[in-house]
Amino acid sequence: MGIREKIKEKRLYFDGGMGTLLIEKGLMPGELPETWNITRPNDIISIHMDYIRSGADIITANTFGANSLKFSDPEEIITAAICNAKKAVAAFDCEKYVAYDVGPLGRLLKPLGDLDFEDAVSVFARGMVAAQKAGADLILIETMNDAYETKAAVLAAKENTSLPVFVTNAYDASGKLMTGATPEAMVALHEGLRVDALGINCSLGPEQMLPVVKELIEYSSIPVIVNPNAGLPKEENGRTVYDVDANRFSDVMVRIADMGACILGGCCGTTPEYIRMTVRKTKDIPFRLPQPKNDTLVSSYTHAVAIGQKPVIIGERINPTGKPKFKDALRQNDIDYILREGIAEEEHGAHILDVNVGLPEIDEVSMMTRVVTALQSITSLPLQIDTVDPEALEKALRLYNGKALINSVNGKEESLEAVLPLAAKYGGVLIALTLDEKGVPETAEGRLAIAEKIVKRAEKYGISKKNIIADPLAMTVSANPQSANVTLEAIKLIKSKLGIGVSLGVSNISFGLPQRDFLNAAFFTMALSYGLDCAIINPLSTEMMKSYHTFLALTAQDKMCEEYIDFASNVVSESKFTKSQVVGKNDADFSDLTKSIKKGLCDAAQRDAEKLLETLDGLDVINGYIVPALDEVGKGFENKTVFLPQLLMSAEAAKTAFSVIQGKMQNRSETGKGKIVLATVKGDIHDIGKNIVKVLLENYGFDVIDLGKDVPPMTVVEAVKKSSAALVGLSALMTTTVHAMEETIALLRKDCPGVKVVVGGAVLTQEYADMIGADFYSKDAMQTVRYAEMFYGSNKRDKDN
Amino acid sequence: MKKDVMLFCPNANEVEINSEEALRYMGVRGKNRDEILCGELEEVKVRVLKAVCYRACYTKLDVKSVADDKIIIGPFCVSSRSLARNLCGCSEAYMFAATVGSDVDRLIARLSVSSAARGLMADALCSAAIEGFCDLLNARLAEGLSTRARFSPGYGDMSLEYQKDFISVLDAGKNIGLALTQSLMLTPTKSVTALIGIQNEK
Repeated sequence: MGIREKIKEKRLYFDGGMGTLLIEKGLMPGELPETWNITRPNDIISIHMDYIRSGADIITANTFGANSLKFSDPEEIITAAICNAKKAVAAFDCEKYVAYDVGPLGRLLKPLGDLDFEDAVSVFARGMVAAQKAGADLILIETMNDAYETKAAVLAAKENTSLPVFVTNAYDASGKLMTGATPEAMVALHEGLRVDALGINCSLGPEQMLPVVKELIEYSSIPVIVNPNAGLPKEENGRTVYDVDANRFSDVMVRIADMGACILGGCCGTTPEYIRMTVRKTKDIPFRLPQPKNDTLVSSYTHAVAIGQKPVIIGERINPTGKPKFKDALRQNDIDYILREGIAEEEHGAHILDVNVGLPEIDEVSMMTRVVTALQSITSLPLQIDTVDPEALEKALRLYNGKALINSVNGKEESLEAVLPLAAKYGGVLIALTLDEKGVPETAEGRLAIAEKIVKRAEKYGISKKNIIADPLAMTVSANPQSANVTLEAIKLIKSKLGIGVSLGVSNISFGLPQRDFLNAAFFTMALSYGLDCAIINPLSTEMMKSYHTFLALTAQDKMCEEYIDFASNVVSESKFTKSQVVGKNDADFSDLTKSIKKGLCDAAQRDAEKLLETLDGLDVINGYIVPALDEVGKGFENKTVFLPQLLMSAEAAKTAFSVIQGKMQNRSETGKGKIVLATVKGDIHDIGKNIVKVLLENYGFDVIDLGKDVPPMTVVEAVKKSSAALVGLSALMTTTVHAMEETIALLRKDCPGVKVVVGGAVLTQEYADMIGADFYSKDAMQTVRYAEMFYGSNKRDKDN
Repeated sequence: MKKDVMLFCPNANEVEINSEEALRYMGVRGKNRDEILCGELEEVKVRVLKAVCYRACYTKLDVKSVADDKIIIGPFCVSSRSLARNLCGCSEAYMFAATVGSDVDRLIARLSVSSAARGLMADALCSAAIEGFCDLLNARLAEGLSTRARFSPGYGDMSLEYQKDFISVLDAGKNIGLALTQSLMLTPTKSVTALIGIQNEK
């Protein structure tokens, strides 16, 4: 019987620790335990046999770190390891399984580290293919303390083998993974990826694991694995011993079995004795499979959001439709603009962010990839991937660190065939639009019928209806006075007949009418009272958030009205704030723009610029106020009377004033002083210095093409060619990355002769800069600005002459 | 003999984040403090305090001097004149790895998106946080002992390559979520590894 069937029938047992036993047998510190598969196979086989005798059903091969980052020929080790485990199993006449053991790679994935997601998938895949070939019965992915790396490993297993996949994560004493994920979030991720069993191992002793085990069992619909350490290590007479003995360990395992864990075993410090006692004490406890759970969960790398309980707000602002500025940002690759929208939505109360970056003239696949990756490095909110391009959807779902919302699938054959397989492979919750080849049905019943059809089709792909949310489509009342009624009726009907969640893009209701927020907010309240579970809205709209918070307070979904009070007091204080500022402004104390910029006050700079523009032309404000202020601050910095944070605060205040002026001077956009490509070099993931240089250069009117951090030399060359920039700024923080800077300069010299390179960063010196062939060494951000001014200034003069 | 690796994970309020230190990291000199700057720094500090997650692991290792530029520390040998000098007269040393976690890296990135000044402040405050954390751990380990100044790979002539040994001896990936990039940077970025020599009793 295969293990997939077996885990549904009875409680199974993993073996216990390997490391401690190998040390007892003479493994030296620093020696890689996996090499023993080849050098001392009999010792490995004898440990496996001891575990089988103690009652273990699943034997974990000695392959924890056998990957191509650590070994030049991991296949050789893996094949030997699986072979050893199989030999041990063959010595007994009963059904045992051999697990290929996969531990973390020891590198952090991007964006927090430098290992590319797809590279991680490849490294995992290589070992897994070898393990299947060698005859492993299952893959055990274990001790993973990062959700993203776990996902890479599971995908590698699913894409390259047909083996069952078991996953256990290492939670710490706070009950979360090292990178922040809760057990609930991990259940959502794993079930979405369709692993066969999930659980917890390592880091903690059995008692400390109890809270996490409880949560896993509460949320999981698949068998839960629990492999604790033998408590915590301590030193006794020069030996490492663990503080929970086999007797106490197995007593706690009885409680864990009672709670409903299906697969038990041990991790660090446990020995065959621990397993023997655990098996003896738990084997007669009645086995039960976990109850299927009906929660609709989406997740990020830190937490899960449940849909169907308290209404959920999905921020709609990351979307170019009808937003010229957003479109510009997309065309100019201004990712920061998009990120700022996301941050604003989160700060105004969004629970999930919709991400739509489709524009006919841009490469949506690559833009979607970049935005999804960048958003995940600055916000922990789950994302809703919003695209009609199946390739962009697949790429985003793949790189997404969690279980996403998918916006959307509809009743059209073409959509069902493109989207459902992706949702089946990567997991996710589908937004199902109730429209098909014939358009949007005019009746609520018609919309219900399409939702039913989508649910049935999804079932064929193994997508359960808890992972589908219907969107019965809000259509403007300006075109059809009945449209709001029909949509509201459809919400009720779908919820009662089909029993699935309902979402709406609320703002469509008012299309073509004035003061749209009035209608949107009223309709939102109505839809909520009909049972709307989530809404795609603009969380920056006070009217919409008013509807939301008042609804929650009035329907007993806001304990002690706390959220309402918080919201209401902020709305009030905002309006008071403005008032007092206005009063202050009229009070003779008419601060001028120059002063505000010098002090680094953004709000004041904005007001001052607005005031000045009432009487002055934009260019006069720039030349008469902003430039002199910036100059003074810049000189102060050079004379060491103004320091870097103040310089930046002034720069930002100036930027605020600039944007006020730009707003007034639209279509009169000045051409910049010159283009500069900026990058933190390959291998370097510190970009704070580069960001500072960027802000200042922009302030002084240069067009900056920011390539980010960890940038390969070729990318810099391509950007220079594409933008025809004449100046490149490179930053490096560590001695180890100066070499990458040198390579980048060499490639630029070869492919872009004539381009000038300015370098800076913590470890650089004039000497280094000369050695690697840079044109200019800049000791701080201001020097880069001065160099750029000089460079483009003299260039311009050359041209003029 | 492989020795134990112990964990030390204090709460956020147990570690001092020194604002003066942060100002110094940002290059602010002199006694006169700009009120607006300091106000903003304290606001950022509130966010930093929510993001920090202090984790450290440490172990005690035997130290054996081999030559004036070679020293054996537990299971590995280091070629470094500066370290040999630092540990001269010590037959044991603590080795530790400490981090303030990956959330602060996200916070710095997040603040930088909307304001380079706030990003810089968060960066400086987080540097002050890891320093404060190392000081706290150092004080605990050094209690009742006579110890040397902390020494990290990259100091003097000690190659950064030794970070690999620190990570593996301490099993720092598993214990505190620390990893190395290919260019030998620690990730999360606000992390430190170091040795603290324990001076022999006279």
